[in-house]
Amino acid sequence: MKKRLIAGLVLHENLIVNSYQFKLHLPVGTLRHTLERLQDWQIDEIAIFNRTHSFDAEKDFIQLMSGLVDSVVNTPLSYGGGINSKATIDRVIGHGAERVIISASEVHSAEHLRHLSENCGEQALLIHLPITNEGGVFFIGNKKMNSVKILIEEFSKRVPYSWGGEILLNSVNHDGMHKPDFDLITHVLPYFKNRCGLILGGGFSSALDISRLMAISGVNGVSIGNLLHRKELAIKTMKDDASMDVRRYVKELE
Amino acid sequence: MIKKAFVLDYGTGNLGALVKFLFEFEYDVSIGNDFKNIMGADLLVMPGVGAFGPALRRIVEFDSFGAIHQRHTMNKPILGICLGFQLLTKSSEESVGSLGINIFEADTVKILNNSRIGWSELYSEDELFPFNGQSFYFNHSYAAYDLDPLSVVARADSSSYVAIAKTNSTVGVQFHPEKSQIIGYDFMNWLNSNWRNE
Repeated sequence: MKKRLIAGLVLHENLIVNSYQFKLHLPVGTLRHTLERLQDWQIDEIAIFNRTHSFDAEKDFIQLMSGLVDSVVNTPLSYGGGINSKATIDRVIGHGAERVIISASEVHSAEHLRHLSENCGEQALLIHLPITNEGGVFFIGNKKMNSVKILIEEFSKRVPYSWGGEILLNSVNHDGMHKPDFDLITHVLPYFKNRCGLILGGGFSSALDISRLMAISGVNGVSIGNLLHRKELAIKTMKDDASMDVRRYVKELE
Repeated sequence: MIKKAFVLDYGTGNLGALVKFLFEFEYDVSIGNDFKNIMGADLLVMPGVGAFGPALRRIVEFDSFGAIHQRHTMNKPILGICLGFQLLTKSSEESVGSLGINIFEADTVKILNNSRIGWSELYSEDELFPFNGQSFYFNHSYAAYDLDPLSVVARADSSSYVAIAKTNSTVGVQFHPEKSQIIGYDFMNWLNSNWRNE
């Protein structure tokens, strides 16, 4: 399996934004234009985090997809924002997402996770763990989001061994800061290794950083956000980097 | 000439992307379960997001089982994508006790070491296969390994499970051509051209 470069797109009031430590959000453009641009560059997957979602995730997603009605979405799409039940998962997938992104606070136990996987399959779930580092103590959640703090160790017990979905470990402190949190990766990764596939996110600024992280066993890919909006060459540079086992650029057959 | 594609609806997800994909090949696309369309369409597509048991129950509920077999016997093109491919096998560990459509005589089994989510290269023993070494998008926890070698067109990288199988004009693919960007289009063109020449 190739390691994946995943575009982590933060959606704020129907606009794609650059995110800084989950606190500051600056507009980049519309989803449609961003998506078309990323597809042209052959990003491996697109993950949309709708931070201004309503209580009706299905309705939000339908509205989002209606803005893409004239676009061909031929890239795997994951969507998150207020998804908290098996029924909602089914419906969001039914309307065009390959996978849904579920917040850590919506996963109550290993049994609950299995229940959420029914119908759509484990592989259709991506759990998002925004992780805050407070002086070397790592917890899931973030004060600004008013979310409940969950200790990493406690949450890891909710993920069964050989679970078929993936977990996105996202650094809150380093989000948009152009520097990955290697301490977080060192500390948190062992809790989930061998339980499921892992995606790393938060603060990547160079192909070198990404290459180092992709080399870690159990890491299936990295989620990059702001970097993609800054320069076109980001994806191409990474795909051309021979040290990364990523999918290379494809030209149409003659 | 406008061709008709019929996407079988067994209550599973993401038909929108697939329908748009088929439109790109100038198919007139409709979705449903009825016998007339299963038999009458130029192409029957069995889509690919969901779980084996619930999907199969819907196929049985709508009495589509026999129609799919009949279509296969008449050598009319069927494309099973991911779960759609698995449904064409004999059974699946995902839903023990449910009998599959059994066009491909193989059991679908759980993949060791988690799911396969992402891009994998295809390998075929046929040197003329145009997608050797090309990456396609996979997203699955179950796969078929032991098919009749004559029906195996390509396998997926080191995992050795079947990525493409073919018997008569029925083709099963474990990846998602509709989500594989440019290479997905190339693949569908190749498939259409093969079907035209049969």
